[in-house]
Amino acid sequence: MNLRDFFFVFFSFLAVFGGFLTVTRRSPVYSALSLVIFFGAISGVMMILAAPFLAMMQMMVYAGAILVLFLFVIMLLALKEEELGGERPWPIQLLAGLGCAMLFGMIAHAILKTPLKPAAPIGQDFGSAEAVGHSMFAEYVLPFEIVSVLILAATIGAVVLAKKHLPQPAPVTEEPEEAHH
Amino acid sequence: MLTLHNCLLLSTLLFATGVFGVVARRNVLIILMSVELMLNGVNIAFVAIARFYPGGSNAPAGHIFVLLTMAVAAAEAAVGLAIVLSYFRNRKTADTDEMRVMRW
Amino acid sequence: MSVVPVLVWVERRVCAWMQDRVGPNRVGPLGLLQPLADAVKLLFKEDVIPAGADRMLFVLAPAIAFFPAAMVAAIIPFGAPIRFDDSYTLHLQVCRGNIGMLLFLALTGLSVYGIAFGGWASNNKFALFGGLRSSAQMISYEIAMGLALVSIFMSSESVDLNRIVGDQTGTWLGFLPKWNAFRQPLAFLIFFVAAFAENNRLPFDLPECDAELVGGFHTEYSSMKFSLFFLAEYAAMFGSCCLITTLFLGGYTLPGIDYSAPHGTLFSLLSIGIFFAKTGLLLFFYIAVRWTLPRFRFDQLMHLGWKTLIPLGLANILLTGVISQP
Repeated sequence: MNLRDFFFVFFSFLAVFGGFLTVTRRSPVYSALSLVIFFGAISGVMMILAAPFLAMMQMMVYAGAILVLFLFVIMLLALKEEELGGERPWPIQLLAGLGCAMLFGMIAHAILKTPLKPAAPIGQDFGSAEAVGHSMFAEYVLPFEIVSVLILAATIGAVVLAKKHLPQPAPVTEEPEEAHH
Repeated sequence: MLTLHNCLLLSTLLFATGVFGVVARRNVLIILMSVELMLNGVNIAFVAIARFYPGGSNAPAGHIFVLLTMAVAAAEAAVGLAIVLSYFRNRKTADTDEMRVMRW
Repeated sequence: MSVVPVLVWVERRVCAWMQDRVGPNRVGPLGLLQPLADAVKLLFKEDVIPAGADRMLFVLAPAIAFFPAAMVAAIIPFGAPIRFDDSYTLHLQVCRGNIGMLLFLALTGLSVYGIAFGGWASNNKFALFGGLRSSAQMISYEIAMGLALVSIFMSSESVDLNRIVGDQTGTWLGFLPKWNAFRQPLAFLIFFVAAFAENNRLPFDLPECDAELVGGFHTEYSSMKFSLFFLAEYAAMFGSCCLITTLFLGGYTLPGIDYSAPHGTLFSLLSIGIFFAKTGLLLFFYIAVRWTLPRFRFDQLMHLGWKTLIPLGLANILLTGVISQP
């Protein structure tokens, strides 16, 4: 097993571990911390799968921006331990776990049944920033522009939704100047 | 070890973990985080297929799609968290079982 | 990491000089052993974990803060590549490859976590506010930093730091070096200001200064954990200065010398010296600014980041695109 395979196994185990921790922690702060580990592991897997630009983008966008947003909201809500609320009773959680295991089993079965075609060779510059940039701004510029409009809409929507509506100050009656002191 | 089957199995496992998080948890923030988990699982699948069957280009459609998916995930997280914040300000709860204002 | 004690000593002496006093000069010759004394004192202090604090996060937070700060040094080329006789070229850069600068942006994003978790885990209102304010400040100025970097990438047509340094050799008119500080002055200014804000240094250190929020996010930290936060801040400062030198001031190159072919070992050592000289100049400037300017209020800080630097960064990108039309 060469170094690349070792790192792939390491990062995938880390990702599964991080994902498992995320969905099972009671406090959202610990979930967020495990999600950081998860995003780091996914970034590592992407590096091994010859997508260096995407790996860096994953860290920058997910771990650097989205999760910070999550952390802000978690800390602003500041839920104490007693306010966290109950979780579902354990039989329901077990049932959900079995259901998800069945989902995984069905898809895994379908994956393992399809035969593998031989993998195509990849170039030296595969997945680099230049290649992705060329592709994005040549062939896929329309989806890029649409997504940018979507992000604009999301920004405006988020600002409007999360705005704190301060109460309007009551109108002040005019004080005469000589009554000041 | 680094075969397409293994990568797709990893992707499916992460997706299934995310589904468990969405279905079995009550805290709305953890549900949103599980949605991110699912999206990342799918991203891995795209990157793996792009790696093994690139179709001649140095940045196949898989990579572009992953980038756009990341952007959409960011937008969805932002709006979702804004909704959570404004709901919490009004109702003081982040528990999805208590968010039953519009239920019958 | 060994630069940090030297930096601490330099900071205290420079600040003393600017304030017309002497500064530490008792411990060792010229007070050079003062940081060692500080470190020993910090190690022996009682390690307090406040009651009600989240133990695991409290202990982890300084480590999370230190990790990205230390890793920035991995992408910086410290000197010209050394060519050994048996055709082996030693590159003085730990992480080569064409994603260097993107790694820096990713690490900048990660550096928010140490502070956010430190503030949260302390179970202390002031610490929480300091942590949140600091996180908000850092993510705001990340954007301005990224925009300034985009115009550098546009003018060098590469994300690789070696290529960017190579593009800065040569001169205009025979005497003005082709540094990015002169080719992209607006980007230099924006990046410089944003780097100050990213490192939580004055004039942007509202979240951690003593007069405002007690100690900000590191109020409750003592001894080793506090020193780790401290170390992280100085390491980040050093990393930022190295990066600014590489990106804007020509890195390890001097104008007028040909760097395309690898030279001998002495040449590379000299280039390391040049690099550290430039970085040292920038660090001195950093420290001088800290003890000169008053600090920004938080809303002024946010206004600067969002309403001034980001439009300027966008305008700079537009200008670069228009000017460099072939």
